[in-house]
Amino acid sequence: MIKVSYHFDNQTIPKNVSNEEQRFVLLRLQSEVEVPRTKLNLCFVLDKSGSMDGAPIENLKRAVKDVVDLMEEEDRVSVILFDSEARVLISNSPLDRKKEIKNRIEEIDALGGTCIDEGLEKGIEQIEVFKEKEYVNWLILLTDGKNEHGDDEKCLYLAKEARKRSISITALGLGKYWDPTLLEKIADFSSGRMFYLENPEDLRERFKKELQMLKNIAFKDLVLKVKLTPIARFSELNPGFVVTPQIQRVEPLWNGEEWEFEVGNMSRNSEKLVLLHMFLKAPPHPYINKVAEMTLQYKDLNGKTSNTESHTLIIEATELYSPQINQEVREVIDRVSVYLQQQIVESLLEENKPNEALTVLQTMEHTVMKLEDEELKGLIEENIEKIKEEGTISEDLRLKTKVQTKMVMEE
Amino acid sequence: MRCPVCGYENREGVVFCERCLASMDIFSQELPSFEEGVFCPFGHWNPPGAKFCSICGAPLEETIEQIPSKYKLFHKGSNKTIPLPDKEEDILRFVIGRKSANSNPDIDLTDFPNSHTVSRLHAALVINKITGEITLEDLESTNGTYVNGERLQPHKPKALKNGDKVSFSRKLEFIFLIEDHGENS
Repeated sequence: MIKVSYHFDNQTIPKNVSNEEQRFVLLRLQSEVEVPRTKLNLCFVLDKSGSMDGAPIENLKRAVKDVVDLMEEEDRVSVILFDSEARVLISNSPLDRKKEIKNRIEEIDALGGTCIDEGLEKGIEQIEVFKEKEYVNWLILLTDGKNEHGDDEKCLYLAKEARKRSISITALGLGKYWDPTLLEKIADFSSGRMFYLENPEDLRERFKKELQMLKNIAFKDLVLKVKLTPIARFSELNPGFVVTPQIQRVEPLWNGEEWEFEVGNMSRNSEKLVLLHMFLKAPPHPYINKVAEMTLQYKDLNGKTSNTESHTLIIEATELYSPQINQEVREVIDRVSVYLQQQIVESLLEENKPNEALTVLQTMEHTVMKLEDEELKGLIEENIEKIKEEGTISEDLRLKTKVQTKMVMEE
Repeated sequence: MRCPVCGYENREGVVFCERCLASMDIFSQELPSFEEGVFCPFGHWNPPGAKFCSICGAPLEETIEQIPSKYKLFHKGSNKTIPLPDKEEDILRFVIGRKSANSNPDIDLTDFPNSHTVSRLHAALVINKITGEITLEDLESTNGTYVNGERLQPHKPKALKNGDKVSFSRKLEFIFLIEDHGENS
């Protein structure tokens, strides 16, 4: 089962405030009991364009074959190849004849252009062929290029469509010529993940890690349902974020009665943080005021849908208001701020405003120093140095920084 | 309230920028300041010993010679006095606030108690040496500027006289002093 607890950044509010008060709610989701083995319905959607020729395609074949070896007989696998169009290499099959599957993978040749959407479309179709409620449905997309022969809008539509069908996508970008904005959105919209692979040699390890992560999934299709009282509303700009394992901005949908946030999957005995961002009007009551009712809906590996108990979010109106912020919530806000500011740095560099970008990077540097994130600090300092020297940053540093600001923990 | 990091125009009263979640004001006291180095007048950090800001080119060295001042802010609690240095200018303007990565006020209140309630750019004290008029203006501070207990409207300068109590937020109070030395003796 999953348990939910929450903290406001500040649970008190001054009486008779005139402006709306900004509040953050940090939700901690904890998964508890061991559940049966995770059964996978996994589809690979692989870029076989000409640029993959040589080491990339050879490493990719080995990586996929590794995963096939590690999958269980009752799991399902399918493989789609795409260049400027897409075709099914292996249709949705059980893993009882691994040798045959691996032989087919060995046949892959790198040739042609890049059309991601056709690959995604065929991948979703293949997952849909075998759709049992006890299975975890996942698509691993790998590309080394931009969607030159495809339609980005269609990719995003398909990512949302995948989520509706309980399919998540891991989007992997290899090398430095892929489009991070597109892959990030594909991952975020489908409650998936994104990674940057600098070298073809990184493929095998990443594929194995993805399989480990998938085998550990215990709960899927998590939906956070929030009913706000009239004093509360969500920020329109940034209503919420899934914070771990990767930061994803989430947009609530109105189901006619309450707001619903899709927050993805959870592994066995793990923890997930979600940050909500809201504004509160002057509270009507002198002390205790209800802000919202909240429950989490999720499915277990038997396909059964459950709900956590309903939580009532309370804020206390007081004359002894003190603007103290819960330190734990503060750290999460800071971590998310670094992620958002990185996007601002990118757009400033695109507009050719290196000085403005530097100012933002310096703020980010302050923040990560406080968060004691050495890896991120090193990357941000590299950004600052490069911009001071050359007025801009290289494409691979940009990719690395983007992915690192998004990554809060490796599962 | 404009976000000092991304420039987004936020609604009044936000603590974190709605767009980029940068700390807007009063909680930024725990933002670590760089231990070494200097901030330019526009808030950009520079390594120690720099003569010009590497970002905007502003000069970093204090070149103006200070003349002993007769204008002071006196803090009763700590018995400390902040001089408002006189310069060879007809109108002296002092921005009072809290130094941070993005602000460099003329008068930094960081070391005073409750300074976290002071905005980065909190108020401006203007001394017009020609007319003799002295005013205090609130710069849309979060927790307000007070003269003898009365809260100032933002950007409506209020006249100050010797001995007035001025507070930057309710929690940090000073006494404004004009010391006449020279002319009468």
